[in-house]
Amino acid sequence: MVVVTDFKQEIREFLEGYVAGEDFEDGDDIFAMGLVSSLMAMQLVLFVEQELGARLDNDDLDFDNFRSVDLVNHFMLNKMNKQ
Amino acid sequence: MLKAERQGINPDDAVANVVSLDDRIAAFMAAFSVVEVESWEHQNGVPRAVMDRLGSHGLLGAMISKDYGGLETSALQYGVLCSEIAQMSMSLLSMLTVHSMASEGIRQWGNDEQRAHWLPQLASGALHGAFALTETAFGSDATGLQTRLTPAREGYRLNGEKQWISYAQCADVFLVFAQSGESSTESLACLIPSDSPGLRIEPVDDMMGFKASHLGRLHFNDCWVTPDRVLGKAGMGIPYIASSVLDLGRLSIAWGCVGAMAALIADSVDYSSQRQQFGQPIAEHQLIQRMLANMITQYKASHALCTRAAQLRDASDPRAVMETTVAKYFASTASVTTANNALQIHGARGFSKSAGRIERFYRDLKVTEIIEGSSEMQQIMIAQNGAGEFRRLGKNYRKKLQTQQ
Repeated sequence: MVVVTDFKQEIREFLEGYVAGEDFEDGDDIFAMGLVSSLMAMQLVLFVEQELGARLDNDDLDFDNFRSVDLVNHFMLNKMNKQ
Repeated sequence: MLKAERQGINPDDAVANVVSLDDRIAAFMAAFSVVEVESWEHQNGVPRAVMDRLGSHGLLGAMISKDYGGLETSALQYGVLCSEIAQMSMSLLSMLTVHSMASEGIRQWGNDEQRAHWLPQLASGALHGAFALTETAFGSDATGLQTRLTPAREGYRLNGEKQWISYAQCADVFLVFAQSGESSTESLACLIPSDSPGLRIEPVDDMMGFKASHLGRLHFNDCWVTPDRVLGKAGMGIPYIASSVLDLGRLSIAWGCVGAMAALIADSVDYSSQRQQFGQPIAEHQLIQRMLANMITQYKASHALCTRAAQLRDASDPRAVMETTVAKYFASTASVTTANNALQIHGARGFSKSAGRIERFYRDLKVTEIIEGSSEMQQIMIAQNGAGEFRRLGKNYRKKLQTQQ
């Protein structure tokens, strides 16, 4: 059985497809920095569901879960532990 | 009396015997003559009976799950529906769009109780929904929301104003967005019935296009909102709910432009092959042929973009959001150019209301470059978010160059 311990690479690769420039750290708030538009919140939700395989409900849709690579990764690891 | 009723046909009877979406659309459309559709412009808008008929044919619940009485169509089927309705009337498309946006907000962001309460009524057309986001000082800039939802006892009080609201004059429930905290990013979405105390609806009848779409302003003055009318959680209003609902709105408008373009091209091909000048149909003149060629090409490109956007949405692919933006930007711009060419081909006849839908489409299509995000906002989003795949391409090319040097 493969235990997933980290999603950072997938998250970063996804974001790099949209972020203008690649000079952001894993802990950077990409929304506060203005690196992505408001559309990214929706795209991240779709990415987390479709590409990372998480099933999200309304309680998961907290903006704070999606602000940085680290936060999305932390959210995903929590989600995997619960499933 | 509707055309079908005069002929002794009850279109509702037909619904019981049809299954496919195409048949439902055809049965709905068969009820109306061209003259009746044109009359909506000069009377008091799309009649409630027409909207109810859209509901009785199941078309208002196109995107709603079968569990709630909807048709649960794919996004692609929904797009075709929008295209067909737009060929008939852009004002009616506007009705389908805002109703579907309100329904989508509840479907995607409502809890089980909210879905069970609202969706069956919206699917059947017992209730008509509308979307209320724009304000006098709030449009493209998501930080300018001024309508406020203030906690009070066991609920909220809603104060503020919404502007340019399609079907404001006849919707039963509005999906309204308001600021809910100190920061403009703290927004909420809520459902406000049109008969709520504290809500005043002011008709707006002086628009250039979409004249049959019952436009209006909403004035909220201490309008009471119970917690069961709030969708999602605090902060989700603009970034999640409005964004996702507008995404559907853009798909709807883009497909509507495709339908309108088809109608304009059909009229132009027909007219140019009959109108004689210099001893031959004007369709034989090369400058007319150039216009027709551009119209057909832009239609086909728009159709292809809309199809791809809908298919990606059906697959829940994250790229759907960007592709829908591209489709809406292209199709709306192309439809305005197409309307301009169609009017030019028809000459003074196209400039006249008596010649039918050319003049109406010319006015109506302009607003597709403004609503659900202006063309300029679409361009900004495309430049910011759509550059990724090309950035990767450039990066790979640079790497290849470096390894070869």
